[in-house]
Amino acid sequence: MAFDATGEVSDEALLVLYANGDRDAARFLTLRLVPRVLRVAARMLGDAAEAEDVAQEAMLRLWRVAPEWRQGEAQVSTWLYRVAANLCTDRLRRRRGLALDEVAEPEDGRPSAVEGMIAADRATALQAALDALPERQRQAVILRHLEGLTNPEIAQVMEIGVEAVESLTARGKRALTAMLAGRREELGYGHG
Amino acid sequence: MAMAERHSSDDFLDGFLAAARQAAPEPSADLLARVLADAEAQMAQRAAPPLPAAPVGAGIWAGIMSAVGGWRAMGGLATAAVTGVWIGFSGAEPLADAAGGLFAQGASDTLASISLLPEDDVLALAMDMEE
Repeated sequence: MAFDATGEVSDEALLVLYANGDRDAARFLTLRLVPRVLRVAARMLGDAAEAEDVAQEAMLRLWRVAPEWRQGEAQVSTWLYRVAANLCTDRLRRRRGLALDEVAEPEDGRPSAVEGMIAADRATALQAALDALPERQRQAVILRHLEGLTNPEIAQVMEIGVEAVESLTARGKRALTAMLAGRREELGYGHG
Repeated sequence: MAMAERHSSDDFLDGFLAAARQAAPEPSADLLARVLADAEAQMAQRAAPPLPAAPVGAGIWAGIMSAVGGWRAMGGLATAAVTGVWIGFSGAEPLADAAGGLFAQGASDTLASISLLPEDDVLALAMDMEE
């Protein structure tokens, strides 16, 4: 079956096709969903290799659930984000005991004058700050401000109310700002 | 927090968020291949016919069952065995009584048409009746 690569076929339709033995549907779902789930996992965990494992495991669960997928009950992407987030939470719990200062952090003293380096440094600094956030705030900020989900969508993923999502993202952003404020000059913001 | 200060703070953080979005990790070809392999493996698993169930009680019993013709034949054998046991316990008299009932009616042609006992026994019974 030929699909329009622009993505006109819904995730759910593709999942049903996959459950009926369509290999192309599996390929399209993989190309469409793995980047999203990998991004969330990488930001939740701050570890590329672990994020790949989580992405593979979350997708495996999707393949397994495909024949019993109840249409119209949940969005495939929402379900997948939730599975990935739970897998990340499990891994983070196993990691507990690791001191915060052992979490990867940008090296001090690296040259930040070069423009190209500034963006990379900011991304790295943000990841370090995300790593230090409480887990639920981190998840909400990632889904809202990096993945671009709406608050109701995040509420479904996290299985909480929309107001709770708003509260988590607001607190998360404040904490991130406070953590990054000390690095204004180093990261090219100067005074102000 | 004053409005202007909050905007400034948002702008500050937005710069980091934008940088992070640009530096988003991309899945490696290896990861995509692993995920697709999982998808195909699950598909093959679902398409495969279920394995035949292992025969229950395989061994000597299965051999005997097969030799006598299965459960139906075993049912017949069991009935015959139970009947034999019953006869053994209750003795041959009830059978003789049943036969005697027939003879008591004195119809010799009944004996000719119905043969419940071996011929020698029938003769012995006829002699008894004459006495």
